[in-house]
Amino acid sequence: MDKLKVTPPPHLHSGDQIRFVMRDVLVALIPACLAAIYFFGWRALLMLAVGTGSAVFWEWLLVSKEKKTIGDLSAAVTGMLLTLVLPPSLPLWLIPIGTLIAIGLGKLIFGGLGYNPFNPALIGRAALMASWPAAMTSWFWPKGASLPLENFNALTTATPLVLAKYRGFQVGYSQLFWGNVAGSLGETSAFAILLGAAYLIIKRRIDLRIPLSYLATVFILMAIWGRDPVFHLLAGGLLLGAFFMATDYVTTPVTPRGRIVFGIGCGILTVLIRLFGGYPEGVNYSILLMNALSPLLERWTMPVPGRRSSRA
Amino acid sequence: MRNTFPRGGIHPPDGKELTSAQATQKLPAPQLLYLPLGQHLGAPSQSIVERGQQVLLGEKIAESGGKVGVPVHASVSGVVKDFTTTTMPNGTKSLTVVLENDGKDTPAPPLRRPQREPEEIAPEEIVDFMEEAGLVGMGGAAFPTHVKYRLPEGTKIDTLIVNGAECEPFLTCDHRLMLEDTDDLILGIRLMMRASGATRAIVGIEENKPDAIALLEERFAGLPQVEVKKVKLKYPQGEERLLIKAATGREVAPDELPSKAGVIVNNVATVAALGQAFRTGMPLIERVVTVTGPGVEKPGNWRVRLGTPVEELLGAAAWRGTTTLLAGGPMTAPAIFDLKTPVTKATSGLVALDEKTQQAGPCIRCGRCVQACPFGRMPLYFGPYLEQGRLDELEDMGLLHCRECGCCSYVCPAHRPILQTIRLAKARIRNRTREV
Repeated sequence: MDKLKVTPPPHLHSGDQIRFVMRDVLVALIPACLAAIYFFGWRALLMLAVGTGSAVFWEWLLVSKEKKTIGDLSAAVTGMLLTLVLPPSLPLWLIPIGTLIAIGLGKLIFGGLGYNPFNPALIGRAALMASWPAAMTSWFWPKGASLPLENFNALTTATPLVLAKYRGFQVGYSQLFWGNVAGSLGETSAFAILLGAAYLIIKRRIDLRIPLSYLATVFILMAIWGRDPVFHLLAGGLLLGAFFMATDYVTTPVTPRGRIVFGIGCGILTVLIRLFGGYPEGVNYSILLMNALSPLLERWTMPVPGRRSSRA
Repeated sequence: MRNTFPRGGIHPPDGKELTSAQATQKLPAPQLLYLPLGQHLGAPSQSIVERGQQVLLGEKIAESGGKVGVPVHASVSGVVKDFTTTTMPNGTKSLTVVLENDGKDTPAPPLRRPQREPEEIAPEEIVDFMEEAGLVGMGGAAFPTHVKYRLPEGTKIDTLIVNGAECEPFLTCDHRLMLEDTDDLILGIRLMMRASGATRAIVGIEENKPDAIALLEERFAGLPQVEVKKVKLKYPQGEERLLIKAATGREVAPDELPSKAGVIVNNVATVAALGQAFRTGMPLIERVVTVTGPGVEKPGNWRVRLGTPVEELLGAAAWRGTTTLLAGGPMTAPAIFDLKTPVTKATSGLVALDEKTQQAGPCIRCGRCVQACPFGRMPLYFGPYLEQGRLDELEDMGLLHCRECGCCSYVCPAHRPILQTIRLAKARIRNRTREV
């Protein structure tokens, strides 16, 4: 008989692929990577290479030969994101350990991409934070960063959030915006993060519901509490977390209303941790905690359009 | 705001430029024609001819098989050569009358119909005529038209919507028909308004057919109760409920018929076919088919006798031998595997393309399918729930009311076969319902 292929409709496809989604995220992270290299030197590039490379390696090693999944680029995204939330002085050998936990325990153990309940990069960071707290909280200021403060040298290991929380000193907006401050590799430059976020928005890769409700919640609560809301938006890991971590498809609700609730929840937790918690920063744990609530949020906000057909 | 449905929808490449500017050509009737007795929804027709019997063009060769059914008519004059089974466009088999064309097109006596203005004819007479003419929905559903017009007691229709959206990519047969068969279209509209009791008619046309919109607006100038509604270019704008929403603003509940909202919808091809049958007395024996796609050298629209095997059309359009042939628009049409598959009353197109299938990946819950679904469903859940046998929950999610437009599958970056899953799940739910 005729050699015709029979496939189910639709016979047209948008042409989109998972690896294109991941590729766009990688592209969107380029400004943050460049900012990291600019402010923290070539060591940042080395860290990014080790982080991204080791994540891909672990994925390659741990997935069976028939199902190699490194081509979907999700491991590269996880590795790069994890590295961007690490302090620039972190010993290099800790990075592959972080990525192994992120890829292995954060994702593959649940069945791989699409099945992980928590954001793998944040799992990796949380594990490093719990295991090597000193290394994970030692910071340095970029060369030439100005800090109009007495005994500046004694404070060179503090991030703007630490200074604000324990010293009552606030770094200026413009310095925070450009990123000329101490902090995790990719978190310091609001400018670079927003540039990347704009790319994701233009490419329609992220839904603004989560980042906007997240940022708005932090802004409003900080203002109510009498803190400088703009400072709290710009400082720490909030912007990177809101645009790149809290928008992870797999670990956040898919319903529009669920996404808004998710963002608000992240915002409340971040504010609580920043104001009352033991840490100066709370983005990481806020998002992880909300990841855990995500299935429930989705269930609660599910549209109920259909009626069950009457059965005899 | 432009007229459209409120959420979801997609913008696939439309490929209509291949054929939209070309006048419809007549495809000569072939030597052998295959007229399936089950080419419409409902009961298959019952043959009333014998092998070797002479038949005339338009002669009834099969009676309606039941309440939901229509007769089938000879699409050429000639001899009943055989009875056989043919493959239908959707892959099923149907008992089929094979006619040998004598090439003379000797017509049967025309169908009886009142020689009065449509507005002076009793509605039942028009509905009976629809049945006698073998009229079914020619947009793809093939639902017997007269059944739609035999309204349940107490139903009041105020609006006839004529579906000229033609939102399926590649197809232009309805577009050409609006340009070329305008008189029959208008006659059909008047008859259908009379038959349904509608006091107004709205022809919904997507904005990518400005010539058709302009022509019909001009031709409707003397008919104050008929209007053209330009609707936004967005797939699936031609879906019945979405077009009702765009044209009238009314919403039809998922488990109710449009008639409940006072609306009746027919495809332009069906309306024009009614007009043509009424004008000429010749029942439905031919239709316009768009033969197109990157896989044919001479794409175009052909007026084709029903029962013509698709290979005749492929010959006329110079098919290059693609991997895939579709019996209709690429978003919803089944792929055919038999070149002898005949053109039926619902075959709107024949699209030849090379399809590259992609291995499906895991769902990453990106939510594209949710955004694309015009009915606000959550397609990403359908696959896992079906695998887990959670049929009740699928019903609660409105799976049975899915209109199968395929937007979800179109946008899925993981290339998951969501529409196919939906069809499978529907079948599972229906079978279970039967067992209980």
